[in-house]
Amino acid sequence: MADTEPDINLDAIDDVIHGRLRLGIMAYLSAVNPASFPELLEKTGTSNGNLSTHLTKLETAGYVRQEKGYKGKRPQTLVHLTEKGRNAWIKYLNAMKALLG
Amino acid sequence: MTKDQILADLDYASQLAKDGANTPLLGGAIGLMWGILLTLILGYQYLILAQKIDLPPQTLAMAWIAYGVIGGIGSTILGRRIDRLPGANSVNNRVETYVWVMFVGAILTVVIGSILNMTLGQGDQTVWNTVLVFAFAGQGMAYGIVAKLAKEKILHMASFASFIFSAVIFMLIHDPVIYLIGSIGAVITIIIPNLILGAQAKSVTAAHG
Repeated sequence: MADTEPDINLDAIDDVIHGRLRLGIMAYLSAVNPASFPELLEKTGTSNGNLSTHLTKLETAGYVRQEKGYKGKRPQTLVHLTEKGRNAWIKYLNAMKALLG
Repeated sequence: MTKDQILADLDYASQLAKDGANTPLLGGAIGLMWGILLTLILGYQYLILAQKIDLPPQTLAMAWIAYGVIGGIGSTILGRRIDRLPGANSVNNRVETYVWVMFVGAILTVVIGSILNMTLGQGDQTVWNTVLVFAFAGQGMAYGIVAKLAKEKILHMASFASFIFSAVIFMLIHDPVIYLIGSIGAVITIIIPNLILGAQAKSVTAAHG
């Protein structure tokens, strides 16, 4: 089915967000902020390494912030959606809406 | 990238956003604990004040201190456990936590004021009794806010019932029977709603593995 459909021009779309997993991370963080690393692993259903890679990409863009600390005696990483990230997320959704009509 | 691929990705994102937004309220266990403690202590206070048991009223002070200490420790332990659950930082759960923290602050001011009035002023037992009126009214407000946000029908009902208990207790403010009514009120407005919320949270958590 995909072969018969025309490609869509994604030039106007933020490609930092527009990847399936990064999209999922941003969507979840828009509702639950902050979320722990294991929580994001469970919700996105991806692997440890994959999640780390994509979080780093989002963090480099300033869209998320990773806070490493301890919960009791256990190490815990909390992922926060930043203000810049929230703005980018809203802009992304608006762009997608315009693109898809 | 085709439109279908984009729509599939957006569906996936939308599902995750809904998952986060629909996180159940996780404070049920804490509410249940306070409900049980309150039922017991209010029942005990009624038995003492109505002279149904032969124990000195001074034991009430110890009982209320024990109530505060046990409740405080229990809340801390349960709170740490809840913090680790998925969705603990959803908007609903953050608001729920903050509303109850503010509720405790409001009730504490009334408790402190009542104690000062009874020790330094001319207040009597009736002044202390008003704490129960404020507690049920405040609880009704707290439930109402959380109910509206989380769209929980059971909390709307608990809110309404709390206001009714507050009014009834105020009406009978000079009578020790208010503690029996308060004890029953704690079962109806705290224990039952929190048992239901706890069961909902458990089933959702189990469904998500």
